[in-house]
Amino acid sequence: MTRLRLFRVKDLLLYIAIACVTIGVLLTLNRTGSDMIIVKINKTTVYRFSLLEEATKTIESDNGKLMDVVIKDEDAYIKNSTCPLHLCEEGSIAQTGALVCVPNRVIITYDTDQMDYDNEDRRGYDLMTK
Amino acid sequence: MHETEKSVMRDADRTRRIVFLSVVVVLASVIHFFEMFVPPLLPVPGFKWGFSNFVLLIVITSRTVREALLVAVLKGVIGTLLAGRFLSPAFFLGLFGSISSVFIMAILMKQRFGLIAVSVTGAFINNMIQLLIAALVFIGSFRLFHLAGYLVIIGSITGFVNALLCFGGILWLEKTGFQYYSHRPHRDGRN
Amino acid sequence: MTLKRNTWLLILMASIVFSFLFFLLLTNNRVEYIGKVDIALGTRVKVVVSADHPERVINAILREFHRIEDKFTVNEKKNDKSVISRINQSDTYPVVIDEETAFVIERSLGLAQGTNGAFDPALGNLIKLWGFDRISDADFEPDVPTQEEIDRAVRLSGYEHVSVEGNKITLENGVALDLGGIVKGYAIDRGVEIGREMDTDATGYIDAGGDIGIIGPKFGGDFWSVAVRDPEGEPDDYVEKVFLEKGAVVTSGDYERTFEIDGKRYHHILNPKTGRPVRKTKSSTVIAPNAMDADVLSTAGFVLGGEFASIMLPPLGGQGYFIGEDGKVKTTAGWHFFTERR
Repeated sequence: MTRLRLFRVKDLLLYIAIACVTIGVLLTLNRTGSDMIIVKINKTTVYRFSLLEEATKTIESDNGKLMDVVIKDEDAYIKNSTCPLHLCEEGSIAQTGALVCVPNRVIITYDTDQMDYDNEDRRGYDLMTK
Repeated sequence: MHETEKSVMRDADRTRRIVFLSVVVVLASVIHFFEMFVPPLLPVPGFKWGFSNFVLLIVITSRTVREALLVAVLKGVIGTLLAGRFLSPAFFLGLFGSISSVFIMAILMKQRFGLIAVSVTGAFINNMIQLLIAALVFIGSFRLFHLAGYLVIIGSITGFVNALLCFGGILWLEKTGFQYYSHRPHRDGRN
Repeated sequence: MTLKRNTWLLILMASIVFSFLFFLLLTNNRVEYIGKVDIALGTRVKVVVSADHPERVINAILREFHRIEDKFTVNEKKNDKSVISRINQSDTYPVVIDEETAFVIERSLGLAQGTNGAFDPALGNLIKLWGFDRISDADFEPDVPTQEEIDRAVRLSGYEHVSVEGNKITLENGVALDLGGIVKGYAIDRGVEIGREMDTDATGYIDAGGDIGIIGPKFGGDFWSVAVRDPEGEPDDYVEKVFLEKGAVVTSGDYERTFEIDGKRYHHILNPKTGRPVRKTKSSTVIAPNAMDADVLSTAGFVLGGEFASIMLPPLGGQGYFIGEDGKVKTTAGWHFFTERR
């Protein structure tokens, strides 16, 4: 039987392997978080889109088309909504944190439960009154 | 050797085995038990640090892999039973995590890697498997993998500590003179 | 390398101590905020909470919002659980009401008096005429009423025709109630109350369409920084920032529930005397100890205009920031208390 050693030169191979696997995991499996958005119609999650692919997606329900969601520059906003006042078309999800169309009962948020409470450093404020 | 001498030797071996494994299982179960009351690292029910795994490492280096697996399963069962968390998410995560850890560490030890690296890798696998199962079975999404980097750091610490605990444990066992091993793991000038 | 026994012991001790410290460090900032967005009371409601069981708290708060929506809104088409509809449509008075309804209506009457009618809970007919009670519906069709229609609706409005005695309410003169200007604030207050009941250490806030109620200070001790939206700029531009660890802040603006016809904008804050949208104010923000008061006072402030509001609101418990249609800013004397991290 050989000596029971704490450290051998070939250990470095293991450490490097671990580092690579971790980096690989972080890059690929991390597909949720703030680069994904989910679209809920009447409280049910119906769509999930990535903010990294630029596109215009159509949101539809049983009643037909409700609106378009434009994804551009890792941000998203609503266009061509069928609601009467188009209040939901103002601003993007990066500006307001969530896009809501009340008449169509559509809620679009980032696919993460955790709220960025430390907004103050990023945006200058935690929340906004309007 | 005479047949009777051989059979006496075998009985003695068996007795020593039972004694050793029993003590080891109790130790591991108790440590596992306490680990359950420490605040969880992940926002996931039942995620464990993994300090109870140094016991597994001792068994891997001095006895057979099969026995190490037995200890792994028993510590999970007894530990969670004692804490009233039997069959909870904690149980399954811990179970699969430590079993995978045993396999990896056994292979690596055979390949003559250093104890610290083996332990760290064992802890890494333990945590990754727990993360995977938690994400797939309990949470339903890969959201948790954010924490992968954070886990690697935790894993390294527990791995490092476990290696030292194992090494110390073996030194201590050698000193007692009790023949706890099925093959000698450690030979330096003193033995 | 092999180790001498003492060195090994030392390293083991050191690493155990280190991991223990590391562990302490990690578990210290465990305050995590969980948030959820829902639609209630015709607007977007966001609840952000840190508590023992944040999801339970958030769901309980949102349920309360829906309950209040069903009970206190006047959209006759939608539901018949509305106590307000029942009161408005009754053929005889007095009508018997429950304690909660009596509380809310009495409070609104008190504040209506205190603001000299700038806030008026009995503008139901006027609001219905303009359609602002249906403005969040999918089939809302904006339309400008005629002068006669407006005059008539103004005649059929006025808090002075409402009286509450114990559990009985009387409406005279054909007026109708619309509690839209107080119900959101009440819901926020109820939500905050429920959150604190479920977990006394709960912190976070409720954001109902821009009306804010604080459940508890940020991280247990820090102020939440609340930006006051710039009525003219981008959705994330602000003109002022206030720091709150408790209480509420509500803003009324001419950019919120509005529709445009022939290039002219019509918003939902009506002058009770003329029956038309108030033009002299662009935005009115009020901080008060509770959201109900803040909601009412911000509406009142909008109707009064900055000059009067800055004098009338503080005795009623509100500090405010008002932007006139010319862009001029007026604040109450105590407003500056909130603009710094004290």
